Amino acid sequence: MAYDFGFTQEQTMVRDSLRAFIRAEVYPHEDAVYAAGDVAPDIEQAIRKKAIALGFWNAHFPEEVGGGGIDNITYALMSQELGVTTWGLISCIMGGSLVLCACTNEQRAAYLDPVVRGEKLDCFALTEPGAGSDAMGIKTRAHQDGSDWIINGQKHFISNADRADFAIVFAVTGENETPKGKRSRITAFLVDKDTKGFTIEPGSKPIGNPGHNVNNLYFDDCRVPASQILGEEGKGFDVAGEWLVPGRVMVAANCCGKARRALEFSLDWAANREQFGQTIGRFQGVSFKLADMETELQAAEWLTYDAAWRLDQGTLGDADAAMAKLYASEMLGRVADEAIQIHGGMGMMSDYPVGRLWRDARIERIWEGTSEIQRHIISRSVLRPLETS
Amino acid sequence: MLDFTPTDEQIMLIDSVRAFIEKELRPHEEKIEALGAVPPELEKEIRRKAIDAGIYLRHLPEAWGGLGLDHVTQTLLTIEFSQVSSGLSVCTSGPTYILTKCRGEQIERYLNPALRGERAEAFALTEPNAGSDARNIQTRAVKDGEDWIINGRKHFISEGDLADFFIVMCVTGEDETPRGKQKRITSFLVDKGTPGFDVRKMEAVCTRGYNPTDLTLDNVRVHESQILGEEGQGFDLANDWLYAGRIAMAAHCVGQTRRVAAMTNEWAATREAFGQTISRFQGVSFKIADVATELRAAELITLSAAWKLDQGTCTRLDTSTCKLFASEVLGRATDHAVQIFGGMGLMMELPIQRYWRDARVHRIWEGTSEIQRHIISRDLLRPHEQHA
Repeated sequence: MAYDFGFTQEQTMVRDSLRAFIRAEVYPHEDAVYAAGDVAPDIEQAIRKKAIALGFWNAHFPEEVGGGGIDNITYALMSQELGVTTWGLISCIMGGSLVLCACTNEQRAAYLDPVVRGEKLDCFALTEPGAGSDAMGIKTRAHQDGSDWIINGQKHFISNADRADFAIVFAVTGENETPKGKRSRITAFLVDKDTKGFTIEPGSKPIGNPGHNVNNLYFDDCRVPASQILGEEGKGFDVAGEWLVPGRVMVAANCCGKARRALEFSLDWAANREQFGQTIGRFQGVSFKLADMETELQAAEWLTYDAAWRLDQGTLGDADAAMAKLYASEMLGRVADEAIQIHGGMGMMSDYPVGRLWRDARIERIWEGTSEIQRHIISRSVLRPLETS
Repeated sequence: MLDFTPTDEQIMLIDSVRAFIEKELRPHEEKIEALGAVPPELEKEIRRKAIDAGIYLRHLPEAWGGLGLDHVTQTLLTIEFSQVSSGLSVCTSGPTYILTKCRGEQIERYLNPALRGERAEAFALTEPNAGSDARNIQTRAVKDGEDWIINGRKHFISEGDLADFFIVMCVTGEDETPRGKQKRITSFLVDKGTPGFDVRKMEAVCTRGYNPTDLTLDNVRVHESQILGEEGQGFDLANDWLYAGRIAMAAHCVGQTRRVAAMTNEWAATREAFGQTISRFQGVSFKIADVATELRAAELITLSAAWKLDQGTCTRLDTSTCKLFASEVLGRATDHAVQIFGGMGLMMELPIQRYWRDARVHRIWEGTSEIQRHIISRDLLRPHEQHA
């Protein structure tokens, strides 16, 4: 128990090896991915195979289920490294929803184990056209029929469903009376891709992150046995909640990594681009932007490491994760925007990395809880204890 | 291995400092604000109580009777002491570390009485024409036998009204360096009351009681034994101070942000408008969320710099990022506070207006935000330029 702002040697080793891997094995594919607007299957397979061999793929899973068993500070450092590239490629390096740790022994062989080994891919299906930030407002329903459940409804924005072998689907299975009024009972189901009544269609095309496709999921009297329930009936949000809050810390880390790359591009450019007889980095209009980018990035990094440390200590509150996610994603927004400004017109060229990064970055202030949802969580946590009425 | 918890010893120190502030300093805040000065008898009383409490030399190594605290602990204590008017908190701490450079007779004349709280010093660098550009000072000392004759003017010299003597930075010649000619700067110990030396109080809109002064030096004659450190090495002394000083300033900003945020949150949670507390309106609560988030980031970045200083790995960039960030956070937090308090935020009967006024100078002193951005960007760009 004493302040310490240093990482262990093991933590920095993992970070450095992932950094080297991404530079050698991932960066060379970026141009092709952006040009094609998708990640070609051979690129995906090649990267995933190497990532599995090097232990990156499942590093975040506990050792008991065959994962790398890293602590959350290491996980944050790895997430930071992953954040430098585009989501279509990130998904080839590290994967699998930690929610699957809720699998029973019977479910493990078909779902958790193959995901950890990298043989199967999952997707996380919560969001609906009418339920984004208000996730409790989902309408997809499952009703019991003997020992089966029949699912009806629609999901959208489901990342990677086009590549997934099965989906983790959240559906309403009843209603609870709570002190705050009626609340939907929500249950998580494991639904295989080829289940009858379950169809996956490409969704809208995102403006960034090529190959990280969003999909629409349709459930039309889709019948699954009760054994496909992940966790317990009515406890779907407990299953999800346990991983959603930590997930925000990792998104914060992703944002720090992406911002660092944007800053590096900008430093290289500002130090070498000449105008009016000197490098533009000599003009305070440019250099002060760089100073602010660095300063805010450091602040975001410490908030992120602090949250990851709390996660390891078992003391992470919703507001702690929200602060890291809010600040890091907003910081990335500013940094990516200033990177464009420093690059001038070149920043807007689609074959130039900084413009691609800027488009990729925009989603980070929206998914995993918008900035507004994070501010709501933080302010409620600060103010609730002070409100007397 | 990351760890963001204070030690038991740090917690005990913080608690005792909090109790001291609550009992001995807070009750005088409004009076100091009204008077615009700390009355001399109160100043002496606070000094004595701080000495009795064993906190007067908390920033000094054990060799000088200090507590020998590491920089992290000092930073934690500075965060506490910044939650009360500077005019009062400054009376609780003894001489600047620079004064420990006293040698020979200087020790009995300046250092020891300062350590005992009998004499107070002020540090005089800034001039009307040399603020951020500190190397450009004009005050000159010219040798005359065993004496030096000083001529010039200093301003913004904090606590000059309470000081018994001054550490005055003067130009004593010129050096040829690879980057062209540079002034040789020497620091002199100059007693108040020395003929030709005049101290005048300046009126500031902020930090009342912690007063800036204007110094005039008109043929002030001092003996060569009054040189602190070596002739021509004045900036080496000051640099030590500037480094840790920036982290301390960031800590001040963290403490002040903490104080204003606590008061603002309390207000928002109880003030009612349109049938509910204003904390229920996102226009208010989202500002509070941003301040809470930035405050935590400012604490972490400041403590990280202090920790690096303890490890011997702190760079100029680290001290600049924490000072820049924390002072800008304080600026936003106090401005939001005034907004959330509404009209009451600008009334003299509440301290919010004072926090807001006091906050403003932090983006200026100890290196303006612009100087920090200059340092950060130069340190970032240089390696990229070399690769070109």
